[in-house]
Parts: sequence; C-alpha cells; structure tokens
Amino acid sequence: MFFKLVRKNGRKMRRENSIFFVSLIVAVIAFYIFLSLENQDVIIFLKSMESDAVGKLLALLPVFYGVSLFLLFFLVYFSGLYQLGRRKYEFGVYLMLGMKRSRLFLLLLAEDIWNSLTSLLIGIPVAVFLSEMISLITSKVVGLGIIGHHFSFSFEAVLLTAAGFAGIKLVAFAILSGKMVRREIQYYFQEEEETERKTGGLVSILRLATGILCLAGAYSLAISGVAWSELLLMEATVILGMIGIFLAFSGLGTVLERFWKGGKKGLGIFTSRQLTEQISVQWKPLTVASLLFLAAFCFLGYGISAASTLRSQNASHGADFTFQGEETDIRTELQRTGAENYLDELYEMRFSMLLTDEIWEEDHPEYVHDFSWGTVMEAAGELTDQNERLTLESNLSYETEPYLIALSGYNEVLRAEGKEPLTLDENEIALYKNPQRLVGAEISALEKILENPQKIAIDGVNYSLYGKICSEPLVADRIITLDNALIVTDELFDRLTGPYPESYWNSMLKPEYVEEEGLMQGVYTVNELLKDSELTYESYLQSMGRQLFYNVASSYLTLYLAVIFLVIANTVISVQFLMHQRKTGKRCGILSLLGAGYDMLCDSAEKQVQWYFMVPLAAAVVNSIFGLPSLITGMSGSAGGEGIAFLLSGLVVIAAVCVIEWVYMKAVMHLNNRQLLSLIRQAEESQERL
Amino acid sequence: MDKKILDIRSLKKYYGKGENITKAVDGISFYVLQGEFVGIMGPSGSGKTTLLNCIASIIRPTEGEIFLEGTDIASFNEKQQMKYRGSKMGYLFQDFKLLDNLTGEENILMPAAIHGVGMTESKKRIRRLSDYLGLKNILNKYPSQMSGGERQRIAAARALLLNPSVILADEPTGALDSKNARTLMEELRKLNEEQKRTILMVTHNPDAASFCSRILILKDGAIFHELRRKQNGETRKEFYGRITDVMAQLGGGGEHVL
Repeated sequence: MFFKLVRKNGRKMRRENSIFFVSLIVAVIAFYIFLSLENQDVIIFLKSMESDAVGKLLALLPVFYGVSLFLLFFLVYFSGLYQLGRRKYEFGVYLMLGMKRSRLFLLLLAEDIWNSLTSLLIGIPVAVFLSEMISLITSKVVGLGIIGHHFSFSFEAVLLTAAGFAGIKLVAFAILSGKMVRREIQYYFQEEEETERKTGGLVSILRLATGILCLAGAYSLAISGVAWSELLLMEATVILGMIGIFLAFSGLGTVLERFWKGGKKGLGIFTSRQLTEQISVQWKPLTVASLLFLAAFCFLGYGISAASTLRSQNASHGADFTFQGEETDIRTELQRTGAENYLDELYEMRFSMLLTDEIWEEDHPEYVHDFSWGTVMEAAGELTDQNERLTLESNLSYETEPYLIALSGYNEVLRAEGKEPLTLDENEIALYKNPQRLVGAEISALEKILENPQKIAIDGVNYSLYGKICSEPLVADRIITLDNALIVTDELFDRLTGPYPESYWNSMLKPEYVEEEGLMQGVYTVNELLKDSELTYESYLQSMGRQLFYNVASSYLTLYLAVIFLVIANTVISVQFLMHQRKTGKRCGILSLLGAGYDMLCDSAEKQVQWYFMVPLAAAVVNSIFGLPSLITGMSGSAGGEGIAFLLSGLVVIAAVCVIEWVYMKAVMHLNNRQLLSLIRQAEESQERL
Repeated sequence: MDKKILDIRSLKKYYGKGENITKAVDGISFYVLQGEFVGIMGPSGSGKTTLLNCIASIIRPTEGEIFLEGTDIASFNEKQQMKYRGSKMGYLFQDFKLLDNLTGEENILMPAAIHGVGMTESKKRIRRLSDYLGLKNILNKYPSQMSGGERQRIAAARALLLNPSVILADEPTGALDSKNARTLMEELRKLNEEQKRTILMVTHNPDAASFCSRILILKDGAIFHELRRKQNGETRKEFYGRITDVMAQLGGGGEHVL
C-alpha cells in the first residue's frame, strides 16, 4: 500500500508540476554533458596537445559543479515548497487518519527519491545521446573528422550527477519536510492567504529612484571604462549595480500599484492589482531571477559567439607546416618519414631586417640604409581622431628598423589560401600587420591614410605605399612573429637585405587528403610522422589547437552556465507565480460569483503570466543593453569588429531566449488555467457545502 | 397585481444515487414579488442555502424551474449564467467575499467592469450609493483596513451597483457583531422600503428575519411553514415572537418553550 501510494503520488506530482519536472530533467542533462566533458572527442584531442590547459580546465569543473549545485538547490527548494504547500490538506488527512509523522516523512522521502530516480532515468539517456551528438558535431565543425569517434559513457559523470542531485534534494527536502512535519495538525487545514505587504508610497518611490541612480552610476562607470581599470573599482561597480537593481525592484511593485491602475474594462483593475501585489510581495526572487537572466544573456551571447568561431578555425591560413633549416635537409627528412606524400610543394618565406642603426656601420657598413616614413608621418599628424593619431604616431616612431618580407613568399601564402597574388611595382611597397595583433585604432588610422597616395623613403628613394594593409599569417604558428613589416619585391628585398636573412619553408597538406581526413586529423597524422624526425618545425595544429581550446572551453562553460541560469530563473518565476495564484485563488472564486467566466479569468491570468515574466526579463534586457557595450568596452578596448559580432550574437540570444520564455510562459499558463478551473470548482463546492 | 420577480416551480436538488440519495431541496415552489423582502429560515440541513445557491446559479438544480423576471435561468448554460451573475442578481455573503487586493471603490466597481458597464455611469452610481450607505470614508480603504460592518456595506454597494432584479443574501449578518448586524438589517430594510429593492435572504437568526415581510421556513428540503408580517401594524417585536415560536416547534414543539 505504502509503495503504491508513493508511485501514485509521484505520478501525480510529475503531472501537476511538469514545469519543475522538465526543468529538473534539463538540469540533469546539462549536468551530465558538462561532467562528461573529458570524454568529448574535441577535448580528448586537445588534451594530446594542450594537456596543461585542458588539465586546468578540467580541474575547474568541480568548482562549476559546486556553484551549479548551489544554484540548483534553490530551484529544488522553491519547487518543493510549492509542491508541499499544494498538498498540505492531503497531509493533514493522513495525520488525522493516524499516520505517524515519521511515516509521513518517510512517505515524502520515498516519493522524492522515486521522482528523482525517474528524472535521472529519463535525463541520463537523453544526456548521453546529446553528449554524443555534441561531440560529433563539434568534431565535424572543427575538422577533426568523425571516423575515429567512439561511443563514450561516463559512469563517473552519471555518479556525480546522481550524487549531486541526491545531495541537494535531500538537503532541500530535509529543510522543507522538517518544517512541515513539526506543525500542528490545524495548520494543514488552514487556508493560506497572501497578505499584501504595504510599504509607504514615498519610501517606495525613493527606493526606486535610488536604485535607478545606483544603476546609472554603475553603468556609467562600466561604459566609460573606469570600472575596468582596477579590480577594486570593478568590484565597486558590480556591488553598486546589484544594490541598484535590488533597490529598484523593492520599490517597483508599490510604485506601479500607485501609478498603474490597469484597464477599466473587464478584469483590468484586478489584473493590474494581482500583478503589482505579486511584484511587491515577491520582489526578492524576482530580482534574483532578473540577475540570473542577465547573467544567462551575457553567457549565451559570449558562448554563441565563441561557438560560432569554431567553424572558422581553419579559415585563412597559408601554411599547415613551417620548417626551419636547409631546403635539402628538409626534403630528405620529409621523404624519409613519408610525410612528403601528404604535403604539397614547399615554398620559401624570406625575412630580413632593414638595418638603419649606426651601430651596424662598424661591422656591416654596406647593409645600413636610410629609412623614413615619409608622408605617412605627416598624414598621421593630420588625423582628426585623437586616439587614432596618438596610437599611429607612437607606433611609427618606434618602427625605425622595419622587417622586410619578400613578395614571392607572401604571394605563395596568398595562393595557398586561394587568394589573388599581390602585384607590386618596382617602386612600390606594401605594409604588413600581424593579424593576431591588430589594434582597432591603428588599423582604422592606416586605412584612412592609405586612402590617399603615400610615400616612404629608403636611401633617398621614394617608394609609394600599396593602398591596402596586408595581414595574412606568414607561418603555421608562431615560429616567427612580426607585428609590422614591409612587403617588398624580391629584387628590392635582395638589394636591401641585411647580413642575417631568415628563411622558412612552408607547406600545405594536399587538398584531397584534407578532404578525406579533415584538416585537424590530417595535420595530426603528419605531425605523428614527423615526431621522431630531426626537423625543426611547427604545425598549424598548435595555432588551431590553442585557439580551439579557448573557444571550446569558453563556449562549453558559458553555454552550460547560461542553460542552468535560464532553467533556474524560469523555474523560480514559474513556481512563485503559481504559488501566489494558489494562495489568492479565492479571489477567482469571488469573481466567478460576480459573473466573470472561466475565459475571462484565464485571460486575466494569462496577462499576469506575461507581465510577471516580462518584468524581470525586461529589467535584464535593459541591463544587458547597458551591460553589453560596457562588456565590449572592457574586453576589446574598442567597439570595433568584434563588438559588432558580439552584438550580432546578442540578436541570436534574444531569439533563443524568446523561444525559451514562450515555452515556459505557455507551460505556466496551461498549469495555471488548470489550477484556476479547480479553484473555481472548489469555490462553488464550498459554497454548496454551506 | 405586483410583478413576480422570482418564480420557483417544483425545484429539486438531489445528491447521490439509489439508496444513498440525499434530497437537499425536494420540490419547493414559491414566488417573490417585486419589492418583497423574503426570508428563508430553517434548521441546519433543511436545504435553505442549497435553495439560495440554486437561485443564485451557483449550483444546478436536479429538476424544476427558476424564473427570474420570466426567464428560466435553471436551463441556462454557463455562459448565460455568467451574464446574470452579478448583474441581474446581486449577492451578499456571510464572509463578504471582497477582493482583498482591491480598494472598497474598486470592489464595488468590479461587477460593472465585468459586465462592461461604462465607468462614468458606474462612478455616478457609486456616488449615490456612497451617500446612501455612508461609504465616503471607506471607499479608498482596503478590506483589511475596514471593520466587519464596513466590509458588508461595501459588499451591499457592490450587490446594488448594477440595479439587480433581486438581491440574494446568504446569512449577511453571520460574521457581524449584534450592533453591526442591526445596522445592516436597518439598511436592508431601508433599501427594501424606500427603493423597493427585492431581497431574498437566508438566515438562521430570528432577529434578522424579523426585518422581512415574509418568511419561508424549510424543513427536510420542503417548505414547512410560511409566516407573513401582519398588515395591521404588527411590530417587529411581535413578528419576532411569532418567528421564535415556529422555530421552537421545528426544534421539538412549543411546549418546551418557556
């Protein structure tokens, strides 16, 4: 009988509280995927090359695990509170029938375990499936190939997920049911009523105004960049923002009640009163939900933009391998190891420093040249944007001995990338900038300057500057790093080259091989072949792996946190709303007696749901409108191209959040309408009993 | 001849089936004329509240007809019932049934908003009712800030706002102290006598019932007795005496009453 009751009640709970149950399953899925990160193909792969970084990331997992559990505790607690409150009467009956309190406690515990097991049984297989899918998709997207994929099931992740859930559920359960079973029986039969908490109008207006002022202060600190200058200032900004939002929410309900009377027709007044009362009574969970939404938006935005760059890992590079040494030695080794079969023809990249300093004159007087930035310096001085002017002037003043790049090598890079080669006249020179170190202000300054013909002078000869900046990566990774250089024709290179020219040999993987294996796998295989060779070389894998690691790690972590935050925020709001509706359900019974039909009541309740969700969401959106630019200011130093990508991913976030919120709102509306119907029936029945 | 506002014909409300059937209302017929103040009395379980709830369209009768101004509301579907609730019928409940998150004025306005009556017209009516029932100082208060009597006056104003054909009152003095109960009954009588409002009130309190012009006394779901206030100047005290006598007989016979 006991177990039958447990199963029956468990089923009933899942049906009646589907939002919480589905949220729990989503959380289980997110937990498993996160905890089984180690088994993802891309992480296994990265571990082989960036083992330290991956190790550090994996070492961080327990911290995230703990934080997520802490947050999930609130989800479990609030849902439990709602669920137990709903069943108060039923528990009262059990006690009246002579059930011991300890047995009631056991009954509730058994139900809880039964439901947790069900959510794990549903969640884990879905999580394993999704985890595999994510692993395969990521591998495919980043070019790892999926041939080497093995099905993985992380028993440890299952255990940790189950243990984590069991832990928080038990703690929440102990607190909730502990409180419940100690009550007098009378409590179980008393109707709960939400009493309106009245705060003085003036106090509320003051709170709201102070809150908005605090927020404005925090945002101005953040957008102006002051907050990013020092850790202490950043902490102060965050605290100011938090205080602001808490104060604003604490006054919002009463202020709204004062100034927003709602529509005069139908249940307009009632709807607005229900809502404003709910906001003023439940402002704390609403504020927390709003902050969680804000965090989720930021994480989603960052995660999506990081994830979207995964695909572009292998874009635009002209060398899969760069070798250093004599051409013949390299060719022999490539032949010996068999790597040659996978590689295209080698091509040479030649670099040399343009010596201008007098100190070289003692040893190599024939190599010392005169160099000046000619009209470029003047043009820089005429720039109207102060930031651009100062940046460029200061950079140019340091560049007195620029590096030279031979045009033939650079054109080979362009060819390998499938781009048009660069054609330079005899007296023409192109500017080169390192693509990884592009500074927004400098690039925009140079672009402005190059709109007009510019000349630089070497040994008294004027050379015109090519109208565009060149910025293709020159080698596979970082065997040579040049911030700035001049690309010159081979003849000029030979004429100007110093006593120590440097040569590197680049090679790409054969396209058909890349097609077959995927870029990453291809480079990885050749890397394995070359591992024991005598060659000094580097591969694109290092560069790609490093970037990939940052992107994979940041997208995984941020998307995971975003999902958890969204689930918690939505569940908290949903549960709070439904609890308030239940507590004030008598009012619907009264309205029904006054002639308000079920449709009218549902319409009012649906409006309340929409507004109740909209308030914290709107606050989070407003916060993110101010918050995102400041995030961009802080992270990129300028609102340049990255900023726009970030804002674009913001749009994706908005679309994703809209869908999620719509689903949650619909679910709450559905549950609430059902609850409403039973409340009306109850009201009618209680009237009938009189 | 006075117009029949309510005409109840062979009304039955049964619960359960077969041998377990409970006949809460068992074939009651009566009518209420315009401007009458009718009381329904009876011991617990006699069916008085069930009868009122059937008339109020809160519960559906098993059989019989309820004509409100000539329309059989017992056969109404839910949508039609909703139109009648609060507009053609005004309610006064023992527990007032006010919305605690609305002010007094907003509570009174609620039926107007539900039934789509214009706000300007409704506000005018509120002003009139406010003067009549002395609501001026409590219109902006929330129910939690009012006394029991004040709450019931707000509920009365709400019931009267849309000029219903009949006011159905279910133990309206049940939650009031004797002073407030007396005041409320005086007000109901005033409404009945001065404004010719039709009132049907369920009560178990002989003092409240003595304000009525006619009393139906129920027993076991049927009309057991009917008392009419005598036309030739019977005082309320005398009428009260007759009511208590009948009630005593219902409880076991007049011989036990001192």
